[in-house]
Amino acid sequence: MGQLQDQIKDLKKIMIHYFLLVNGQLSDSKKALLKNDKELAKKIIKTELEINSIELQVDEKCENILTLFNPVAKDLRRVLAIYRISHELERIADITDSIADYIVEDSGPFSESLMKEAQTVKMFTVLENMQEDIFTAFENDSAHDAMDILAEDVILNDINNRAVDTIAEYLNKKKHPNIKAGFRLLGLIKKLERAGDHIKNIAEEIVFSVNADVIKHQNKHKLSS
Amino acid sequence: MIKRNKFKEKIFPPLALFCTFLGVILLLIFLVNILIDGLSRIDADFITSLPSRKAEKAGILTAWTGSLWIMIMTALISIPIGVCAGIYMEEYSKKSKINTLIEINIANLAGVPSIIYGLLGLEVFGRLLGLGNTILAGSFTLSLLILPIIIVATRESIKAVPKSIKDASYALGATKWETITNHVLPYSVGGILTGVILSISRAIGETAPLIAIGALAYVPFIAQSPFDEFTVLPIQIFNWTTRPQHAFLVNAAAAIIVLLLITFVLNGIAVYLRNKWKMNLRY
Amino acid sequence: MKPVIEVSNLFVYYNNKPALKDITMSIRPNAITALIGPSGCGKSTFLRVFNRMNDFISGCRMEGKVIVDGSNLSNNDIDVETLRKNVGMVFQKPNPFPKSIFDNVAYGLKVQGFTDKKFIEERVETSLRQAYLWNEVGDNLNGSALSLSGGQQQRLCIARTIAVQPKIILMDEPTSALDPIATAKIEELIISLKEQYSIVIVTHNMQQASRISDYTSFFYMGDLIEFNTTENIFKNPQEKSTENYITGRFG
Repeated sequence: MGQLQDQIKDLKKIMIHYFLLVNGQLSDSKKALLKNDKELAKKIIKTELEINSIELQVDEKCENILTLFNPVAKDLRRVLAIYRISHELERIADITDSIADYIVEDSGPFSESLMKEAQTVKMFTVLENMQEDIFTAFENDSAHDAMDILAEDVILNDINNRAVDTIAEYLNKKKHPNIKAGFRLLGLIKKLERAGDHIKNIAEEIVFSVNADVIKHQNKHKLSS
Repeated sequence: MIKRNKFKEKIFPPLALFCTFLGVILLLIFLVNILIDGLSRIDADFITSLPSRKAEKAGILTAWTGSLWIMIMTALISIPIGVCAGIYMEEYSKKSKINTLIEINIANLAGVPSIIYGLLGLEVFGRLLGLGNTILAGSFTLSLLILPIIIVATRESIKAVPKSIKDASYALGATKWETITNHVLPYSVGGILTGVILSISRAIGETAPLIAIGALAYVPFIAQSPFDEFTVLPIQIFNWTTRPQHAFLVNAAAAIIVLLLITFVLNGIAVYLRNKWKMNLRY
Repeated sequence: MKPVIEVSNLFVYYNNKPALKDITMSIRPNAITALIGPSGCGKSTFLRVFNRMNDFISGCRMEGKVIVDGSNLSNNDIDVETLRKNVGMVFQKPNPFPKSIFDNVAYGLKVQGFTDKKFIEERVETSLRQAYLWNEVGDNLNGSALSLSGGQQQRLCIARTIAVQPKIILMDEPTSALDPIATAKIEELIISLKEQYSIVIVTHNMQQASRISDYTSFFYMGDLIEFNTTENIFKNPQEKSTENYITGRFG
């Protein structure tokens, strides 16, 4: 009933489209990376432009809703959450964009065995799962689904924490270690870990929106129990 | 805790009650007296007999038919003039020095002693217009008397119409006349009617002005037209009370009861209408 | 889009004291224009210029050019009754006539001279439907208008106004006497009316202005301070006094 609800509905529609785009970017960047597919990388870069424009669109729509309709309670939390989720999604897109940049710049493919050793592909897989889960959580306003991804994020953190040692070990075993490649891979792993963080932030916003619970900055061990 | 002096609080209600009842009690005493004196005299003969020099034969026929004539003629003359004047003053006239002057004067006229109206009527209607001492002259005179009351009653009733109703009517494109006939008058008709009935009721009780214009004390015939001479109940009563014979005093008492009855009935109708009107405002 | 009302250099005086000073603005058709400002700023006076209701206030005088749907209001030959049929007004306190619901809505048609019973009945039904009131009163049109609730009475007044199909509807704080639920219903109604009518609404409730209007003008002490799309006024007002007012920093 009423304009405010219509506006929020429209906003959610835009966000769903936004989510799908960003999720697509991540899958594409994984494919492009593993196959060193420059064409796909160019597509990713092109889509990034659309994503930027959507972010601006969401900004404006949130501002308008806050200005013109003075939402309160659940409606206000929703709009605030969406405002912040939008920025998190944009940063995830930035990460995939930089991966695409890397491929297009032709710095050469990552070593498959190194990647396997550092569980890089696994990171992508975990991220893809997290994205699916977070999309469901957003679509269904489900704080429960949002909380699920917190455990998955722990996996990413683990891999990231071990990355330095793993890569160092791997390189030490080689006769002619490609240090540059090692650094590059480390950088990629850090980026992917950060992508996970962004998704975790989105989860926190969804929980705030649905339950008015602020779970960010809380003790992580407490949460996973 | 300081004990407040509630003496004034306690004493006022019984005191006010006493004052209220004082007036009522006095009236009741008067009524009871009159009833004792005159009730037995009232019968069909009394009401249908002409006046006579013999008290037992004298009746109030010419008196009450005269009163009826006066009442109807006065109403016919004063109501249209008074209501229209009231509507004009309230709805049409603009605020100006002349209009304010007229307003003040009309309000003052309501307080002028009725004998003055009688003398005015005698000169203007009786002599100048040559109407003599006919019912017409009497009606015109009394109309002048009650005109200010009707005008004020009309104005007050119209004033009571909420501005919001008129605004709504005008905002829909109605003219002033349409607004008055569709909203102002229907809304205020109860109040106007109440004022009219009360003033007619007063007119019926007037004695001095009618005497001044020459209404006769002894009229042994029923008036047939407005150009006939006449008498009215109050004059008949007055006439009988000046006679020495006790029987005439009894007649007077009986006539007073009849006059009071008419007055109470008319006032009762006015009160009933006023209440019904108040209900109508709730629609 | 040609404006439906054009105001140029309008001055309005009450007993030679200026209530509105040099106002110039236009009202767009099929849009809702809100007039906001603190009490006594002249917004209601401005509204009443458009249907010449200021004529009823003695000592009120107008200077300047006001063209309403093509008619120049300063022209004394103008037929005020025709103007008011074309420019309807809804008041702050609901003011239905103490008559039946049907008679209320039909009154404007009666005054316009319509006598065809069937036509009037159809028009009454259409208007009550448009005013979101038919479902509640359709089976009892002979009931008293005064027996309705405040919100219903106001919707009845709106139905009464649109029954004569004016081009412009003026609303003077139409919901300030109503509870929040009635207010919400009427705001929804006003938005729906935008399709067919051009609406100018005075409101002292800024949230209402931001919720429903397309354009907003801010008045202060008889001056028009700022006029823009509602979005611009509330997101980024140009004048400091506008910003002070809408952020509640006045006084």
